[in-house]
Amino acid sequence: MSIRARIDALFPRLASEQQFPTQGQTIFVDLERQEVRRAWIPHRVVTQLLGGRGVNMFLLHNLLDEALEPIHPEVPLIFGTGILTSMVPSASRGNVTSWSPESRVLMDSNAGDYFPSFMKLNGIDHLVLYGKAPKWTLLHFEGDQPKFVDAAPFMGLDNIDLRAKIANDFSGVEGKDYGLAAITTAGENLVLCSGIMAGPKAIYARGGPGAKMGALNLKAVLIQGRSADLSTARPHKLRNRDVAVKLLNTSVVKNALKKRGTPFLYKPSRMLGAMGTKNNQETTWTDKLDAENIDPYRPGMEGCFACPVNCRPLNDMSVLGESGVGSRESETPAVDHVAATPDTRQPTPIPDKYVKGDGPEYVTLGKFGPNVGITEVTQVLRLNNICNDLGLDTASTGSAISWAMELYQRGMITREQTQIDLEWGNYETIERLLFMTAKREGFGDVIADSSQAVATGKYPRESLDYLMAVKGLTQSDPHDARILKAFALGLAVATRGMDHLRNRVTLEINAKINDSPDFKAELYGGPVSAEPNSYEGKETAVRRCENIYAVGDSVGMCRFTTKLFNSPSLPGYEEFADQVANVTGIELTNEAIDHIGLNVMGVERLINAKLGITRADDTLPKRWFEEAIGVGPYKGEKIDRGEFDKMLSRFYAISNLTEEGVPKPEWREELEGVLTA
Amino acid sequence: MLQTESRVTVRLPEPLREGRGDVITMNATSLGDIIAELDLADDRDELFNFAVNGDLVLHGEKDVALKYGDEVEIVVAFAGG
Repeated sequence: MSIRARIDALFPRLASEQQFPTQGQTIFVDLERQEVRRAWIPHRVVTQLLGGRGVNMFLLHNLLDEALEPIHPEVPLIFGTGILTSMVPSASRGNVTSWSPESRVLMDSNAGDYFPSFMKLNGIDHLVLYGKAPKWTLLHFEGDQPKFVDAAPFMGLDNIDLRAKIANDFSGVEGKDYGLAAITTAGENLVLCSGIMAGPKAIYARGGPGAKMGALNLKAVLIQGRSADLSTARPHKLRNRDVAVKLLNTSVVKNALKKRGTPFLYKPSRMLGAMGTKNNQETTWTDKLDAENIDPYRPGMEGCFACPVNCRPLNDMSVLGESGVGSRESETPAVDHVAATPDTRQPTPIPDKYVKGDGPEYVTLGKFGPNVGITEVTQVLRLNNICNDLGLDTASTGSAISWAMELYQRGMITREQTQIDLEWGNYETIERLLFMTAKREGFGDVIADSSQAVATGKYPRESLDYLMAVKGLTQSDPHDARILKAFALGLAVATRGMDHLRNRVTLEINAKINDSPDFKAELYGGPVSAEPNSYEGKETAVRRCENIYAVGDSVGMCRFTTKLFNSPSLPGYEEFADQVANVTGIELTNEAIDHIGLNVMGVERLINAKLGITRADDTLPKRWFEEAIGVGPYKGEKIDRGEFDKMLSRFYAISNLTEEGVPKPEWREELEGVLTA
Repeated sequence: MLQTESRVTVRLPEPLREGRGDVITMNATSLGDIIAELDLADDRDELFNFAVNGDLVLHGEKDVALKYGDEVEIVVAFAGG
């Protein structure tokens, strides 16, 4: 059945008018025919899946034709904004959902900055994009009215130049006047590790959204204005003040996020002997990359739309007269891939546009530090800035490069094949490779295939033994999870693949909570072992985290400020339920909202089942079962296959899943009632 | 005698310095002594973990025994993105 027929079949089941105050439309845009249809998500779906990620799953489940290929233009790309996005402090997020061309399972990626908020501010809750535009297009919404603009003037531009040109051509300031989701040259070239930039740094990163958008010939979606009537069902601003006070008073915000951002975690990870190093062959690395060593390069912090936290560190290497090009490069001829690269043959490098930027997050620090053998802060900063400009997911791109480096180290690929030196820590190669990847040039074409490089015939099959991925998605977090068993389980069962942001039990490393068994049991809804490397009860903690994070994504709350992600004290169900009631008039108990989190996971598993995912895919990289951690207080630790399998079965049991990892028949029937009734 | 035998070095993260500087020495025979001395008990929201001689402690921290010359570091520990 074609996408248009599927939408025809779906429409009678959608609502023809707004269902609650502040609800935005769901807009279906046929890019090929330049046709637009509008509807509202029915109340009964909202009470089961809320909005954002949850409702995106409702739409994908109805519109996905698994007989196609993920990149096919009739597989829709769905943007969704949380039900509270832009209306509650730190709720600035939205998701983009499809069938991932990178992993070939569910694609669902979350971003902040400004785009999701401008969807909501203009009465657009979901945007369903399909069909290949006859020519490259910029979809320009003024309010909720789209225009199909010829994108030719913007083609070939990466994030920095594109955003500058949009600001100039459309006379506005991003974040104040408009929100922009756009792809770079990497997306134009269908690079599988490319994302959709939702701001200067925020990226819908995981699963290849950039390639998916590029396959639609869609360069950008620009939403301009603040046209929606967002009058709430009841006053909500007083409760917003409580939410803001609560989140600003938590230790993670006060002492870490507001000061240095997420790079703080590098140090504890390396001290634990759990810092993914050289494609996880090793697990500790230099203290030169500790967060305090980034301090001299951090001129300030930035934040997403109306978020009081401001957790994003900026960087500027020009303050110390540095460009981020390391000492090794200063001894070699300048790289020749881009004219703007500093001429390092001169004694003092000329700063270029990569001398400053936004970030890095811990993920980037790990993936472009220890994971590829880099030791210099300035080199990591520069690679971070380049990735932001090129629209590359630092998790997937860093993982693809480290995978290649290990294959090179093992002689499974050779210099003859790569034409570049893939030795660990070779800064020049890594920088050059990023530009080659965005253009799919030379060996960059292999990196651009990310985890699919075996499927596309570029690596031998045995290379998969060294791919640090689950369900085709490489690991997001650079933390090696052989020690932390809840973390390991979470990575195995996450519906989009190996990603910590779906369910990581971050408090597993909090000694105070580990040493308070009653408090911990209350927090997770059952006993959980105090010992990080024990398998006991870990399924309970993963279940609770997976639920609340799915709810957070559905209301639009940032993960960093959602309860259980780093703190037991951040806003959670109570605040979400109160503000959903105040904003929309929909009353939900804490139990009901928790069940919504479970529902979201259940629908995602139904989608993955359609794509052929089974229990066998809820697993971990071979290395973690077979090779032990070699350093630190947990030296000798690895994942025991038998214990892991038992933990997985327990997880399925408490998640109302069958032994194959899909919703049990009764629950499945309930979910399908919501999805197809 | 006891004071000399139980002397340890403690490195403090910025939020805990409060005019104490970044390195202090104290008498402590367990991490529990340091927790008491620095008044760090029982706030479960706090993200401070101890590392003893470079090894991070993830549970049972109050009972971790210390000996003369041990280097204790208090680190801010949370998860990233």
